Amino acid sequence: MNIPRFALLPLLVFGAVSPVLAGLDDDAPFKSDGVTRNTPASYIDGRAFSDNPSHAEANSGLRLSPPTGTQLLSGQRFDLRVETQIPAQTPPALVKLVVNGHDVTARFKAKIAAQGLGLESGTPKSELLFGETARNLSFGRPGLWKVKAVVNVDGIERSIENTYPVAQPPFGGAKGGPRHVVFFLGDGMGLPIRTAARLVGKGLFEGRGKGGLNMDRMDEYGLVHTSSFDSVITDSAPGMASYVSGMKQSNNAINVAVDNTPENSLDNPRVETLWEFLKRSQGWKTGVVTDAFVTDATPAAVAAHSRARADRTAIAQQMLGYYRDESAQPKTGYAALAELTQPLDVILGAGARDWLLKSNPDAKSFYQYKDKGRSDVDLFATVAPSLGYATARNLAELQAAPDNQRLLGIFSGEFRTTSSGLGADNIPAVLDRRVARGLATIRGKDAAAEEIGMNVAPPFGTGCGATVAECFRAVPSKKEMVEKAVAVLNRLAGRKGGWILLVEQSQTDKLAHILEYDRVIYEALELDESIGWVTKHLGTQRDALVVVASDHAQPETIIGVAMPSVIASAGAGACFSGAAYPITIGSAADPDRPCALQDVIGTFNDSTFPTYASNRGDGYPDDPDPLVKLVLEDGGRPTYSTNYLTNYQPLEPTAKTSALPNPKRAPDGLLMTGNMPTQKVKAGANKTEGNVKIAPHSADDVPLSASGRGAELFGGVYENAEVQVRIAAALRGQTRRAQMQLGSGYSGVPTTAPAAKFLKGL
Amino acid sequence: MKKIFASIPSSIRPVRLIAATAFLACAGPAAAADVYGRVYDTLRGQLYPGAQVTLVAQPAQVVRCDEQAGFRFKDVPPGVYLVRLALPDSSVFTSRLLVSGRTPTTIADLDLSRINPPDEDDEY
Repeated sequence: MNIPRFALLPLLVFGAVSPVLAGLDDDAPFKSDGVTRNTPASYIDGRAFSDNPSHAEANSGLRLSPPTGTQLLSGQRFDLRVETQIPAQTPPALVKLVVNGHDVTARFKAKIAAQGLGLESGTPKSELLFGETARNLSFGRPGLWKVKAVVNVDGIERSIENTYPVAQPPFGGAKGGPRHVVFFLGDGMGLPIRTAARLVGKGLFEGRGKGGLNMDRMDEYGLVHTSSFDSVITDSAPGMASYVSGMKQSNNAINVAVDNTPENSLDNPRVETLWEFLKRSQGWKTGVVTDAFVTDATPAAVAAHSRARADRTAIAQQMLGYYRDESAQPKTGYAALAELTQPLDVILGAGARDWLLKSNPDAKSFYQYKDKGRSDVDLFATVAPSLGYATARNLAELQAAPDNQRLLGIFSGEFRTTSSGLGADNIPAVLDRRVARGLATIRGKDAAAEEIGMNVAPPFGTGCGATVAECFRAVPSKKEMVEKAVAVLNRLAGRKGGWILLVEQSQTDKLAHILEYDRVIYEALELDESIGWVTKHLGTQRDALVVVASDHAQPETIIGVAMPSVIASAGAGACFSGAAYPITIGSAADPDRPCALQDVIGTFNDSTFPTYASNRGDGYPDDPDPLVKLVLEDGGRPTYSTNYLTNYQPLEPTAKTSALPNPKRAPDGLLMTGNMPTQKVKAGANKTEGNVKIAPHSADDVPLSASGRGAELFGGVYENAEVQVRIAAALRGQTRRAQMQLGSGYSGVPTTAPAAKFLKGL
Repeated sequence: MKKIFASIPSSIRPVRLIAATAFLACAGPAAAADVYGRVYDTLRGQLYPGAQVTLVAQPAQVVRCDEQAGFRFKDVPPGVYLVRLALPDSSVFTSRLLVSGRTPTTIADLDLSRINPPDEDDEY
């Protein structure tokens, strides 16, 4: 056997350890008894155990897409894919495809022939793998659908069968249902953030809340499981896409299933979203509003299809329904995708670099990108107007845009060069926009203060304003965006038409990743303000459904309270020096006493009530550092330091080398060592880089609230992929949970096996 | 004795216990399995032919990915393993592998977009 010399290095390294099956990091024998806990025996012990299996045939990896158990709606489109995962010795071939007992092999093969091999059918490069995708099918009747594939692999017939519970479609009910649906998504907004927002925004007196959030006053509550197809902990892509498609998806995937062509992220088997389905079948108008870049995973999840959420420029085109060769989203090879996607009628958010050509002067002067933008086509300046969209860059243009025209609004991001959080792709944080508008201060500092960094000219031109503060003031708030979106959707849909809108508060997640918890609370309050406006405004129409959910949680929690003035006077720098990590705990003045910072948090019995004030009465604290403030910490974190004071600007937690905290952020604070995985390891470097630089998501269930017609359907504990069935039932006019249980064990699915002739599109 | 059985939920009374035991006996002990996987990064649409994949075990198995970025370990006893992945630029990644031995081949694709936690909040 001829093994390259360098390939033997791992053998030399790992061969020196005691005879265990796993690696050095986790398997050193315990000193007490010399037994390695990580041996297989302790895991298997003669019983079956999970190896994270997927539903596939054991010898060939033969599998079907959508994954078994995908909860579709009658009439909802999906791609049916048959593929093997393990290369055969000779090219495998489809023997039979059976749907509810009926042989549809010829129809399937004819469909593939009509589509042609290659991208349209997801053909693998290696002929030793089988892979064929029939696009845009649908089950035309509710019930249990069984699909069985038989493939000849090296002379042996391998088979696999999937079951799809198909529920009633979201229309056609006897009474009819709501015609206006608003789906609020607080990204990463787990229960601790909802609680913190209530405590900060409303306050406590003698243990009783002095008020409730709008999201806490809704009609019904549920608890949602968020795990993705292949991870206990989801990212935002499947976290949102599962809500609106009924399909559990892999991390980083947007409305597609996995396939055996990982080199192409746009050819995966797709599933239609509820937004697309309602527009295609009912002519509903659709929209998204976000504070993130518009092509980010959550907003993309209602209107796009890609295995890679990073396909931002292609996703932008899908949102407009614009396909053209020589662009990020080509036309050739994607006819079925173009047929599936439906252009959104309202698109509001940030991330101009996915919409403007780099050569467009606005990319630099207005949106403050030093050197970013598209290289193929200008969607904002050219394509969108040609497709009938009005465009807006700031609040004034947003409010001036006509209500009777599609609308694309792309607003400025957090472009301060002195801030390392969010960046120009994402709208500035609520707290910072309120400081810019003169509605808040940070420890008494307003927009004129040097520390705030707003009373200076923007870095790359004055297209958006003479100062940063002026630019930030021109960025619309979430409520201002939602008001406009609803006005446009109402006008476009007309009195008898319907519409569905996603409103995302992205930075409840993004700012939590960088441990800017004080700012996260303001984000939740902004979302709540929008919820209040929508429930009040649409509630009078009696035909609206409002859902408030989250795609996942983060491992943050409320640990107590602190007094910022004491922190400041404690002179934390007297205890710690950022220049001398690792630090020694103890006061420099008196080594026998702990640093005052270590005693600054009142926790458990000693957590007095916070004293946030809102002199404007609008629910937002005037300042995030009042006499007594709430303190949140994280169960999964990078290395950072904290003094519990609000940073004047959003800042990343770690230094460039993530083994150390960011020296610009609380350099005199307590050192919190990271507990996340190490990263960027090079052979021989031995993990000197440090931990992952930001906090992660968590697997905790998340609360879901609903109000309006059909709200009762959302009570209970269920998977995120079951939410679509509930919305559909509400749209059919169902109002009671008992109406949804039709006998099959799946919500809204009868115990019937419809005839194969109702399989449409094949 | 009757009381003892009565206290057992009906779903696991003796007949069913016996049946379950017989099933497990027929299933037999877990056996060594092959492991097949591919090395890729779905976020970048990139395959990694030539990547070196090491099964950290005694003895270790060191293989190199083929042109489809596929790799295969032979006769891997049931258990939990770390897998080290070395790319041509010397980057090293560690993933986990669980082999039940209850199927002849365990599929273990190594997707860098999952193995490598991102540093940017925009990627979460």
